[in-house]
Amino acid sequence: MLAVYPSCEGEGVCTQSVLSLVNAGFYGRDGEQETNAFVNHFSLFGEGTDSLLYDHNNNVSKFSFPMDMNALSSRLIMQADTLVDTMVINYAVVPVLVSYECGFTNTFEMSGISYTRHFIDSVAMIKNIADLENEENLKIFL
Amino acid sequence: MKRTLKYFFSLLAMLVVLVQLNARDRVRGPRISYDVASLALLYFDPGRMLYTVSLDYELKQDIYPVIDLGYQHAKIDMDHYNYTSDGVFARVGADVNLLNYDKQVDVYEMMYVGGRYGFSLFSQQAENIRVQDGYWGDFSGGKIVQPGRHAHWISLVGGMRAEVFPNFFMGWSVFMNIRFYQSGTKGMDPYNIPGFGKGANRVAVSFNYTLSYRIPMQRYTPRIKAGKK
Repeated sequence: MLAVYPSCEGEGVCTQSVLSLVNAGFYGRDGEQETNAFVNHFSLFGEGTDSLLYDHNNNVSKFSFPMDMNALSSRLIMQADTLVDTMVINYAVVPVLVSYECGFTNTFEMSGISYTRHFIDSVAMIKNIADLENEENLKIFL
Repeated sequence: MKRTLKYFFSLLAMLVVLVQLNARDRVRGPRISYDVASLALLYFDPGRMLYTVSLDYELKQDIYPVIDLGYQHAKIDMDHYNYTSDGVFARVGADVNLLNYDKQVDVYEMMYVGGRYGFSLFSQQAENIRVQDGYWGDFSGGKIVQPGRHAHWISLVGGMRAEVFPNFFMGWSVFMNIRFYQSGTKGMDPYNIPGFGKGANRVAVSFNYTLSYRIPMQRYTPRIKAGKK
């Protein structure tokens, strides 16, 4: 997923990824307290694609995924053990300059999220712009 | 035509007479400068063209009000985007000559410091933006258009200038530009703000090397400061 571009005359070469990702984490609740949660046999893929982003990974607490830059929503299929949930995220794609060496990234300004509730209890969007920052966007409560 | 020539030569004769009038006189007139340092961009930054002319005037023996005017075009063609920017700028201020000429009046060398208020009006756009995504598929065709942007800054200036032939000058100067306002460039810092420098920076330094010609329009007798002979 790392995009590396050569630069124009006399300038450096870009070694930075310009692909914006959604950062998510699993959480549980202990009374009023939020706790980190871990999922085993976790798989994730985007509907309409032919490969897995995560393939039966164990002990997953934080994960990241790209979204379709050529669409206004992405449908993500998540599996934990034998339970499967679908999450649909709506967004606007907004190009932002990373640097003149690296070019542009497409940030996602998320406007809504819907999901099924087989192993997911709820989803909170805590930062609606997915960009190159490594900040958490979604809290997924189990 | 004859009459015009007559007036012209009369005027010339008057100027020659004026030159003889007073040994303490100084020549002054508007001085036009062109920054040839920007020619170096052809080598260092071939996608950018910058043209800067300046006009200054010896108000007093050591005070020179000045205005710099310029135009810049920038173009970057990359595999994953095409960028263009056009803009004009003006810098208005004054230079103060630090050399003491009280005892050598008809000398015009300068070692100076100065200040400017600068502003630029520019537009910029990026087209054919492409972002690679090996999972969902690449994105292509993105565009950002930002017309009518402006930036404002102050400049601290230092430099030297020498009269190499009568009324012809060469000199260099260094500008330290401090930007205090820039409008509406969210998502795309300008590659280079005309007259300022790199758009991602709040402080930018630029170097000028100027060739100048002073139009010798007037002679005047500068006032000697109190206590000087």
